[in-house]
Amino acid sequence: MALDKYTIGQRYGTALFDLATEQETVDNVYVDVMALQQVFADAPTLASVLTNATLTLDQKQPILASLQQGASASVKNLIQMVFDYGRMNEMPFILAAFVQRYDQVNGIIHAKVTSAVTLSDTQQTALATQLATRFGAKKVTIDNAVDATVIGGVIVEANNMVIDGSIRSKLAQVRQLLLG
Amino acid sequence: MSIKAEEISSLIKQQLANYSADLAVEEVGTVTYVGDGIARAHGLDNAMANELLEFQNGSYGMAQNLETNDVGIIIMGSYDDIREGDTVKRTGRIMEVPVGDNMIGRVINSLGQPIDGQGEIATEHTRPIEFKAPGVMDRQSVYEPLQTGLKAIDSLVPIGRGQRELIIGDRKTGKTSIAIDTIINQKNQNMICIYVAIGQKESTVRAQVEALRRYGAMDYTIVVTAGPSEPAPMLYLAPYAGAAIGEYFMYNGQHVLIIYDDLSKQAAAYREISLLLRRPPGREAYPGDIFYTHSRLLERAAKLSEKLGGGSMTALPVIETQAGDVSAYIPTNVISITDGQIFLDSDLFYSGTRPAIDAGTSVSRVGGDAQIKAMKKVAGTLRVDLASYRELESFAQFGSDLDAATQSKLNRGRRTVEVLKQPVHKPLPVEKQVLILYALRQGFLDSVPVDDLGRYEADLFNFFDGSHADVLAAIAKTGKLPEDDSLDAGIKAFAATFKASATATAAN
Repeated sequence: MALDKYTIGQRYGTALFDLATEQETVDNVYVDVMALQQVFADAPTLASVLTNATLTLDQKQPILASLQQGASASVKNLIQMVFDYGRMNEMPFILAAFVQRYDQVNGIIHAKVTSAVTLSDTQQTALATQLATRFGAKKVTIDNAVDATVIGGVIVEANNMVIDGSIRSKLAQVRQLLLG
Repeated sequence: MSIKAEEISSLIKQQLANYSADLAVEEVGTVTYVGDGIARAHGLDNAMANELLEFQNGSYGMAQNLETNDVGIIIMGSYDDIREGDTVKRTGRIMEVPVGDNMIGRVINSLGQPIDGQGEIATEHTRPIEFKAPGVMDRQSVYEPLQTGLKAIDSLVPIGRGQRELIIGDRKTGKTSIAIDTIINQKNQNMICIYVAIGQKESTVRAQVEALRRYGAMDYTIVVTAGPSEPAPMLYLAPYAGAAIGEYFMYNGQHVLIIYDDLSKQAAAYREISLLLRRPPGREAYPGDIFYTHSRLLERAAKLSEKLGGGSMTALPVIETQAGDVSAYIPTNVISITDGQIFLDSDLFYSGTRPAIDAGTSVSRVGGDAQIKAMKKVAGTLRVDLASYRELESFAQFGSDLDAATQSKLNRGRRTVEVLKQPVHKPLPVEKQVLILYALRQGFLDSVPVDDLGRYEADLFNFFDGSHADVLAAIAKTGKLPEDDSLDAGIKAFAATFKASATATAAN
């Protein structure tokens, strides 16, 4: 049976992280990986184009070259290797596994915060500090999503936890209590 | 009903009063795989074994495999609209079922929900479906009898309250009938019965429930059923749910009889789940912990010490064998766990010996202590008699000239076999069993033609009910045979009135 993409992501991602740690280039690689993640997010078809069997190597090579442009040596090698092994479809998971590993080592937590209106910078910083003490993390990055149906308060999703302090869920609770 | 504005506003006030106090903190995971009734989820790092998990679509699952990267979940209910990427929430609760007195007389599924169309069951308590069995000091030895009402069982393989007795045999040998008859015989015995049907055809279960209702047995019976059309997790959970419901009564000092019909199908369901969860297969592709699956279930049957109320739970697990093969994996496992087995033989069944109990291989390891004295006395030599009859029977086929002693042994043997036959759904009270077995042992039946024995028995019971009811009542009350010869005298008085039928006389 084929390995699932999470397992594949873990294997390549961990290998890249260990290599980068050995060469003490983790921070540079991290920047590259973040950029690469952005590219894959912007162009959702990119991975499938690179694994498409109907396209010839000559057609894929320029795309690959542009991906490798300006990347550090280990990231360049990773791209080449993943391409050669036909694992480009799993590339986003490889990158995610690397980022996850990097965050774990450096105590970084990404929080998705849903609120009714955009949070101000001061609010975001205050929230980040609070979350950092709660999760025992060194740094918390906040990704603010706006959803008007939340009405008030925030919903924080981070570290496999959902902290729900929204008016929407309070109202749902009241409704549950009154209507059973 | 009118809306009471004050009540509602006070409720809302309460909510608002501690408005800022409660932040809903939930632990979530992401579904990475779903199919065949199981799901895998990433995250949920703190999930407990057997914890109830809630999917985004509202259906529930149970955490089974806790691994470094993910959690294997068995889904209970519909998994059609669960997708990869959905969130799964921890509930912090271990899988449990509602329990209580209101469940008596109802038909429920593995989750304790009613399926008999008689509305909701109002219960106040719940119990975890997995519960540690009582330990050494919480138990006492089995001493009260559980009367099945079947002559062949109560005399040869007696069952005590708190015992675990396996009913094993091929398909269509009357396993379920024994179980149902035992339930029917518990009327007015201060016993609560639980019939767990695992993978039984819905039509069969319906018929069993109707039979129980017809004999007034549903007044003290709970039926837990997981049909073959339900997903494997429901079949796997059904016996544990039944045991949890039974434990509630047991720990309240009551007596419980629980029947698992049958554990072979539960084992097959658990094998299915285990293979899907990619646990390594062992012998016959069953997972490594299949023995533990059954042993921890059956160990929950117990006779509790007086300190804990003295309640009991008697378990009658049923195992179906293939072509009489008791040395297959699951049968040997369950035979070694239980305190004895009732072995049903298809040859006996088809030759008309019903219940088709094989006296040679059926044993009860603890029930002897629970037998009443009178029964012990009349049944004492029964097993040996039967064994020597079987031996002589095959031997006697070769020669025609037999000495008188052998002849009489064969005679007695034929009558013993005949007396132990019993029609379905006709359980007998213990004093009547003692009566007919006493008549057999004392040789009163030796002169009665074999074909007439059924009629003889029925008439004998009628005669005693009419004119010697006090003798029967005394046996039932004291548990002993009468000191004087009232029993002999009664039987003799009856024998004088009994006329052998013409056809039977000619045949014999």
